[in-house]
Amino acid sequence: MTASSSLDALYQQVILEHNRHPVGFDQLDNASLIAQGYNPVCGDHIQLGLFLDAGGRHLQKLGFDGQSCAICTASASLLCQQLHDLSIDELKILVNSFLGFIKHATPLQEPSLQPLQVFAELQRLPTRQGCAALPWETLQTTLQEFEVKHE
Amino acid sequence: MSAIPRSDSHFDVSAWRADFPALRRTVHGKPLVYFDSAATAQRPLAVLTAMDQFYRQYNANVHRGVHTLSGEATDLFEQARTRLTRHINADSEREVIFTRGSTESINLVAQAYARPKLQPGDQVLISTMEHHSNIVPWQMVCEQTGAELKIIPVLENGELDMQAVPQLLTERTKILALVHVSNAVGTINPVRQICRMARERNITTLLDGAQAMPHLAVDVQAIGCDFYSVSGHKMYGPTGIGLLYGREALLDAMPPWHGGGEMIRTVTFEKTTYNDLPAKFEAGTPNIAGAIGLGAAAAYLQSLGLEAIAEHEQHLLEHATSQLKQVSGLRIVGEARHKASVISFVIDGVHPHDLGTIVDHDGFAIRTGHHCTMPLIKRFGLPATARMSLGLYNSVAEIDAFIPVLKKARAMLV
Repeated sequence: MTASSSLDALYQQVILEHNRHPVGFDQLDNASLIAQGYNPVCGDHIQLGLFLDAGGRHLQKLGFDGQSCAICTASASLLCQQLHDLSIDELKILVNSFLGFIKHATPLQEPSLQPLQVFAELQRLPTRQGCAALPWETLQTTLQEFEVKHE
Repeated sequence: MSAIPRSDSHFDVSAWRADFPALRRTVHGKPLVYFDSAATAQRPLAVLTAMDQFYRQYNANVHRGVHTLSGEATDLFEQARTRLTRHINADSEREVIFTRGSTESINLVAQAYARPKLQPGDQVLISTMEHHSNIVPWQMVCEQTGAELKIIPVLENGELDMQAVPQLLTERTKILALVHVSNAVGTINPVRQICRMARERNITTLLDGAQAMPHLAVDVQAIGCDFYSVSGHKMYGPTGIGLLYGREALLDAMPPWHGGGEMIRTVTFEKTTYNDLPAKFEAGTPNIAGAIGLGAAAAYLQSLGLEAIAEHEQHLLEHATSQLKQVSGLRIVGEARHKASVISFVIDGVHPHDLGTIVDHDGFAIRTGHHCTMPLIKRFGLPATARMSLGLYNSVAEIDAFIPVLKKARAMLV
């Protein structure tokens, strides 16, 4: 693959478009939980808002905020776009699946995660995997803490 | 700063470039343009050869055996120290301690000099522009002793707020630890002036010289500091080796830091007596090849001439600064009057991390992030910057080739 086609594969139009107009951005008001995500390598900082139903076992939607690179912003945007109206258990499976896809090149099976295939090029770029992973790892950590509290 | 850049014709950098084998490689099929010397410089053949020769012909432990190789290795090791002593104009070899790098040098001073001296309520003064290596060791020693960390602010242009300095040098200030040249924004601090102010108040000074050594002729006596830290790999030497310069009277009075071989005179289970300087601070088998490589790096810089290097780099700095300003949406972070060839910048709508990846695909190696200076980058209200750091081997042509790539990145993302 040439340098420019590898770059085009990384910065696909879908990613650039989500970076310019991110879904769920600046939508944290009245969130049930706000999780902080920080990447010490680059200094990026995002906040992820979880909107849960009254019982706390069902996610209605997600929102996010913060300063981050195009890869991280697009990843957060696609996360907000694709993951809503799910049980906490379903959510955990999807989060683990995406992180496995980025870091270990595990195929993405779930239909709702198919749009995330746009990040496949990151499998060859370990230095930027953390960027796409940040919103999902933030969610993963929060879900683990949430689980501990509700056990 | 001249508005019209001089042409590159006054100086041909190709002979210098030829000394650096790594510059011949390609990245993503494009010639490597290495703009990340502030993170670590490339090494000239002179350094690689010196280290290779040591391992091939002279390899033995130093200051130990009576056999020929041990004697030769010791000579090479101590010749390197002598060369470095002259390179920074220390008074004697007793003042030049080999360490793992600037970070270890600063930790040595914090633990072996400051920790026994500091009392609760004493103050250690640093600045907003410090590298984490000149922040964290002082935070640790303040926590251990009850001393307080005070900070010299930085102005919007990236210079130290010199007006704030006199009030910050109080009766309680025991140590001033300051970066000589900022690795993040290139500012050259007025260290002679500040060291004089500190000396008048009986305050001990440490300068973090990691980023100064590749750009400036450093004379520790003319500067008038008490301690000066050096990293080998920033000045075209190997990684894992550096120096601590300390005034002999201070080093002499300090207790050892690490215990082990080399740093002792006699050991019994009842009592150990310590070796003289500089061995007192060099416990264990040292990084012999690294020290020899660092000596070779100093010799290499001397052979080119630090004034010639500085002149070339200042020309690059002026040219790059004026060219970068042609890129719409680009803002240079830190425009001090006295700068080394290190330029931090941001482009509206382009996150530095994305920029770093995009330009890498055209062969340009730049650093993006907080450059281990989080308080400074935060002071500018930013999460990160892109940094272009220019070394002796960079050329005007490389800078000119960089500008369209920056414009392409902006067109792609905005």
